[in-house]
Amino acid sequence: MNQIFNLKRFLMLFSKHTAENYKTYLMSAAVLAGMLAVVIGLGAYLSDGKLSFSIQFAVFVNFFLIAGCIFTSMMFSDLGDKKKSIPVLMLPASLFEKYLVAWIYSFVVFQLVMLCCFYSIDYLILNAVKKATEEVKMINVFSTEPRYWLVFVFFAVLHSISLLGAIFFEKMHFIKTAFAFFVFLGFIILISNKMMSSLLDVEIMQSIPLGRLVIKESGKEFLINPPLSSETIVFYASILVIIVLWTGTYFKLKEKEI
Amino acid sequence: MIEISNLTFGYSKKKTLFKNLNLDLQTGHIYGLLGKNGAGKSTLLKNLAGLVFPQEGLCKVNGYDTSKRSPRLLQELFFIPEELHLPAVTASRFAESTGHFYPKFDMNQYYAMLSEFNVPINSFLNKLSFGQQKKVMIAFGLASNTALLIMDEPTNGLDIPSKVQFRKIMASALTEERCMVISTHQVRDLDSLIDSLLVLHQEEVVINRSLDDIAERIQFTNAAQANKEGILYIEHHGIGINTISTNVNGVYTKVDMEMLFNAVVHNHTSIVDILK
Repeated sequence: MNQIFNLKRFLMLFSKHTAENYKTYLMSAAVLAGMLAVVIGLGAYLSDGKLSFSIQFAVFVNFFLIAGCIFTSMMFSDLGDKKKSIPVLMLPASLFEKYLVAWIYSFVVFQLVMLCCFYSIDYLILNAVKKATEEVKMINVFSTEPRYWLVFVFFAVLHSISLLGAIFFEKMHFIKTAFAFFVFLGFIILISNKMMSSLLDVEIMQSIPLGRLVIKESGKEFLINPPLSSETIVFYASILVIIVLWTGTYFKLKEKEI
Repeated sequence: MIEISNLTFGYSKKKTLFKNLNLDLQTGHIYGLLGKNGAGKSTLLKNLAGLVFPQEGLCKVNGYDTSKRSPRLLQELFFIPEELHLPAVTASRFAESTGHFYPKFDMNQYYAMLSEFNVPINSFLNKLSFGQQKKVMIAFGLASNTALLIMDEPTNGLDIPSKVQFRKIMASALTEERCMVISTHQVRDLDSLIDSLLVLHQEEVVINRSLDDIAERIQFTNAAQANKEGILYIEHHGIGINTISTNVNGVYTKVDMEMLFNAVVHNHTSIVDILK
């Protein structure tokens, strides 16, 4: 029997995880749906039933990213508790299989549940307000124009960070991961400003790493947009970061002691 | 079966719990692991189970490095920790979802032991008392029929009748293909259960002998029956004096583990030397 991955063993592990956690997961999905209903309903009420694409998208993005990060941060919470970590580590399945179960639940299953909840609630509310006002269309979050689909790439980046944080920190995973992320982000922005300032020898008004730059010279402000190719670079760099962090999480799991 | 070679371990690099520790344990035995508080009993068991990694040296079970935690090793190893966490499922659901990870898991044996321990099979495990949870894990560990069963303070939380049942069930579950290691600080709980004794003291396993071997080398008697020239340790109690002395006349006495343990931790090296 393969010591890294065996389908039968993986399915056994997946069903064990499901049997032991399905109640918590169902309750979480119900809470997510309830909160979506409240927020989308409130949006419909405040906009007199005219739920624009931007409102729908804003609700989707916020719930998708925040709920996804919180859920992912909890995937390895058992390993932060000595009592709970022993049965996890001693269960006769490979660490890759244990990792894969956490990955599938937090990445694949979460996205499916989120999409189902969002579209069900959105559909119900749009239908409810349709009679009172003119028809409002449902948003397509996979749309390529405008490029709404990029939110899935952004989610994957945040997922990879949250998953690493879930194994790296022993307690308060979400808070600590978010804190570390914002400290890192602040550091990058600071470095970027300093670097641009010393490279260009002008006053930097705004500098977004790998993004636009606003400089001030002779009392006038100039906006410098990056070339189109930089978007491709950012996209592939994001994919690389995702793969590196997912792999790093696996190796961190291998190193886990109690 | 268990092969520990030159194991050095500590939770920090400056303070080690074991230094170059060597140990060889065989199947067909129930080993009792004794040591003072903080001597590292639980840590040694965690090293055996691969839950912590040695700073130096190797710990192997059936030839597999325990720190790798490979499934083929884990399906032959069951560890019952001192403190438990059980999921919110019933005892029967737990066996259905977890038992098949262990190729030799015997469901009938599991239910028979739960019945002997009077544990309800349809109650949620997380709602059971600590003692009941411990019984479920003991029953599951024994029914898994793994080659190595490690128990850290298994009798903690068990009431007196349960301790008796525990000893009975443990004795019946030992086979020639199986090795059990039990750590405890309640020596009397191991009476009539273990056949080999391990004593951990000052970063070393100072005694690793079967009780028969120990009884062959030293005798446990009162002062009147002791081999006067060979007295190694004296312990005063309310109604007299007990002794440990060298066994020169081939008289076998029951090993008083508590007394032997006291002698070792009070640094009576002559006893340790005889038992080496």
